[in-house]
Amino acid sequence: MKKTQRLAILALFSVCAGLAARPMVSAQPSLVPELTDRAQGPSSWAGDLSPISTDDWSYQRARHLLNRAGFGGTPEEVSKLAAMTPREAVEFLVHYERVPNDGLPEFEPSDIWYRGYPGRESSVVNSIREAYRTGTSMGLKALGPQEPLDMQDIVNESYYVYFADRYETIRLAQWWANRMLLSHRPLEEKLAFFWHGHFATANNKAWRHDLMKQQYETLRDKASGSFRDLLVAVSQDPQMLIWLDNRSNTKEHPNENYAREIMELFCLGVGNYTEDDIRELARAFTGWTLSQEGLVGELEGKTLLEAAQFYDDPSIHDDGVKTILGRRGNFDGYSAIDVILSHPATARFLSAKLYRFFVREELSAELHRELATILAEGGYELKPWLTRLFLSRDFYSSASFATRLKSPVELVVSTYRQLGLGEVPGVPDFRSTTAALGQELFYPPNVAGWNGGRSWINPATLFDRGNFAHDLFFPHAASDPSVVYPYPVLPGAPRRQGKTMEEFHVAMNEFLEGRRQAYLGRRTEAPPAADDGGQEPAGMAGGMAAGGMASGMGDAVSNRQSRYQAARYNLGIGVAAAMTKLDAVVKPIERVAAEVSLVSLVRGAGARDVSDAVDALMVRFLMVPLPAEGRQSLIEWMQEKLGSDRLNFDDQDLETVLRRATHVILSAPEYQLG
Amino acid sequence: MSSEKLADDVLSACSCLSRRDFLRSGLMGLGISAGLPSVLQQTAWALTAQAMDKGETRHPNRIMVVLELTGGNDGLDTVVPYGHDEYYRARPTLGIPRGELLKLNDEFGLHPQLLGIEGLFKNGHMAVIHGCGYDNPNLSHFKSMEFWHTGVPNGSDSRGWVGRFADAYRPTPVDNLIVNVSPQQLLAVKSSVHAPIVFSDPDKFTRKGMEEVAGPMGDVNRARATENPTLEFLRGIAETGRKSSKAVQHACAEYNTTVNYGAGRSLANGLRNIIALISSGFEAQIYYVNYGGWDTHSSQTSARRTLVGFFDDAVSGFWQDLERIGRADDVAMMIFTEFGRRVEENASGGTDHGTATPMFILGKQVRGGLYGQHPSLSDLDDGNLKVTTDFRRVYATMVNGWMGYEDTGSILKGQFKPFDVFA
Repeated sequence: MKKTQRLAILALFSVCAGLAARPMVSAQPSLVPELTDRAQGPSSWAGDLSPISTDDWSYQRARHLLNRAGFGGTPEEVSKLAAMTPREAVEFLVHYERVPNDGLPEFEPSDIWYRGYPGRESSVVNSIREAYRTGTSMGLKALGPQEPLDMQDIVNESYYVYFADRYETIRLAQWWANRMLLSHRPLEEKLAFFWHGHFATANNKAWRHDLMKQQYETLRDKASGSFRDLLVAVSQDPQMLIWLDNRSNTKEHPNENYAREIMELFCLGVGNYTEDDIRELARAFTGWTLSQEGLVGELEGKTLLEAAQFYDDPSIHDDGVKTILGRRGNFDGYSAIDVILSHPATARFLSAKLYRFFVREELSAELHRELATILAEGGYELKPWLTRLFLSRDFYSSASFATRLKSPVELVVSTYRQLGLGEVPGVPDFRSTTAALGQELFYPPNVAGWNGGRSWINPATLFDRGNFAHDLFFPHAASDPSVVYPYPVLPGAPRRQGKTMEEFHVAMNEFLEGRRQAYLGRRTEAPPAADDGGQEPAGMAGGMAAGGMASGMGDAVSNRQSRYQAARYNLGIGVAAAMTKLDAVVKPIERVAAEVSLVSLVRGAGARDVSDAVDALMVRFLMVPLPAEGRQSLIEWMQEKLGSDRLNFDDQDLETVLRRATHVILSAPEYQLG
Repeated sequence: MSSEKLADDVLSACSCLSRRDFLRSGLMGLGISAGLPSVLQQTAWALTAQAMDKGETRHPNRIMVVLELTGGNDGLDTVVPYGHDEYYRARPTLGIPRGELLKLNDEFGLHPQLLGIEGLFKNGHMAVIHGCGYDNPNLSHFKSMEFWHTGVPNGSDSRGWVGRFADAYRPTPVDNLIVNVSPQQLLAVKSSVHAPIVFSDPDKFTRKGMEEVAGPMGDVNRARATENPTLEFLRGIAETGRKSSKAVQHACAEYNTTVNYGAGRSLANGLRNIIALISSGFEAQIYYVNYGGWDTHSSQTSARRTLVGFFDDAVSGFWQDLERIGRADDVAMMIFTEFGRRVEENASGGTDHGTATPMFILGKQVRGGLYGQHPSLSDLDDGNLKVTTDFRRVYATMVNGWMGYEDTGSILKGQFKPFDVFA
């Protein structure tokens, strides 16, 4: 940027924000440069793919790059990039395989399937049906209708298998969030996150966190190579084979689900194919299924994961001639993918989706054409394409800079990265925080993924974004265990710790049998005492099925009479028994609050008075300054709280006041921009 | 002093705002409506509506309430075809004996717990539309609900049908047009122009720790012009939230009623809070509320006795309360669920996911009665009822017949003939 232009922009901002009235942080080396110093590029850069020059490089632009190609970072991390040339910085991020990534935590599975995976593919209801029909389900026997609650163990186990996997998936998401926070290869995790939203698979069909982890690793390991390799790997991924039913796509009984979505949502976009193309493509994908053992049956010495892997079964493959997108041939999955990739719509569709994720919503027709051409001509190799994008003037233009809304996961992770945390805190809870904001890892709302953009924001989610900051800095308010375990756990249950699995199992069975007897004892009393509600699980009795996990189930409880009419099983007990057991088996997420010292943060930035502190917090967290009146209001509020304009670092209240001020800054509209 | 005169006096006292701005922000926004008797609040509300909408919309004071029964309500156990023996054959243990039903005519009777709803029907305030659904029904809760939310069966859309209606009805952003009483925003109300107010517990529709930092928090969350379009959008939402949070909390906390909404907590509270907002003069014309628990795969007789009872208490309480505050003429309510249940009961004393299901439109301006064709109980599709009414015809009835927006084709992506439900 030319010096005069820069000054003009600076002047403009100083009028708007009252920032330049005085140096931001007096007598401090350039660790925290001004927020508006060579920040957004000129609007004329929009649509221009030519690379920015070394002279155009700045701290704020390095910050912008790290936000988009990663999840942001501390001033130290930004300074490191800012000290490179722009090309070096971009290549450092894009060629991340050159960066050692040691010291990341491994995922430590809980031993949730210690009885062996029972192979449930359906639901609690189907287990009950099976038990009615055959007297056995989930590997357990029903004792017969003469025995009250004779199917209770089956129901307990069935719920347990559901819920244990659910909670293990929550732990998996926590683990991934920690990788996003700690990885030395930010773009690797950012791309995996992008592909997770693109090939959106939710673990509420397979209920297999181990396969979910495998899919994540596939998306991560193939994130920036050739899109063809990624597409083949995803088409053969066990979670995907289950999620979009290709495992049951056979010559005899074609299933078009995967064929439809790979065209509509993964590659071409609507309007670029016909229903005939879907039917023909489905034929090509027949035979791409799971190994014979699939999700059920004997393991035959294999691990659970090994037993459910991709298998190309020639006996169910349709090897006739197909016509796909106007091309005729004896296509199989591989050659069909080549047909899709050779269609010009794929490069257009994919480049627009990547651009909107990394840069901004608006994409001119001209730039779109150019980006698609580069992608197609580069053989769908992603690294060169991303390098071009991240170096482009368009990427740093005013149209792109601080105009993108952080997604919930980006908001939470980048907040932690900017604070330099060493781990994702257990308070506030990562899952419930991001879910309340509309994004839960491993549970996209449907195969179309998250809508993103402005759809993240409504008045309630904007409040909740600020409330996240509140819970981060005032963590006691968020330590409500019901947030973590939304279902009740029976009091007095045995703990897993200090017991072998055998001992635990015996103790748990004894405990549950005691509960069953107590329940049966009370069942004979009619009508039931009015005050026993606290003891019973807050589920409904014998009423609704697993679908009752949705809201509204609490209401049914008050029909106290019906609770005592359950005969062969009680779903409320089942839920509570399952929760109680998994609470003991699933390894806990430590409920530890973030270790933060905002006092050292502003002190380290050289702040001496209140306005220094506010400015230091602004440059730390915001890409664009607060409006002048907002900044002024915050300064005056702090002065009043502290009773002084000077910062007294010995003042015990200073940390609290700084936390409140940061809560305000992180609640501002400006903080939602990344 | 006439109510109009008082409103004018208040207006002239607020020289900082234009009359239109004042009306737009509503009396609520200035925190003075609490002191006004309710009749004046209504006047203020009507003035607001007139000033904003003259020539823009046909029925500026009409309100549409959508009630979603989440989980798949058993239509055959709601409007029971007791005149058909097939019903009792398919439901040997679940079939409700003729004598217990609340009979609508010789063919159909309501679930015995629907006493309040029966009253609405007898007074001619309820339309029952038989056999609603869509072609190639999907039996997954998630998929089917998505189709009802978007109004695009076996397809997709980023906006909901209510959102698309709101965008067409009021093409420029309006504060507080849509209220979604739900813990999380539902796809149905997703709009590209309007920011729906979303809350289930009004006490939680607020910022935590606000009392500590009220001044600066308010000052950074105001609408302000900026060249950054995303920031301008965010500031607009922040402004909406700042204003509506107070209005919502205040209206819900201050509302007093003698009407009993029953013990079904989430729906009773939800509908009561909607009345509280309507009564306070809140601007919203679209309310959307959902109520779960209808997925009755087992022992449904007892479960439904409770649930249908809660439902009836809350819905009839809602209409009683609307009458009490004098707004019953201005409101119509549509009730739907994502699918009905199979004709035949299952082995667990419940019913599994099915297809066609009745929809309901309630209101004083409704021409009560039975609409559409009840699906055959013998000519089934793999054990399921055949859909006789595309549900989008009922949406079209609400959009056109009630809200007066005629171009339903652009909203519903096809021509769907409204029913002649509204007088």
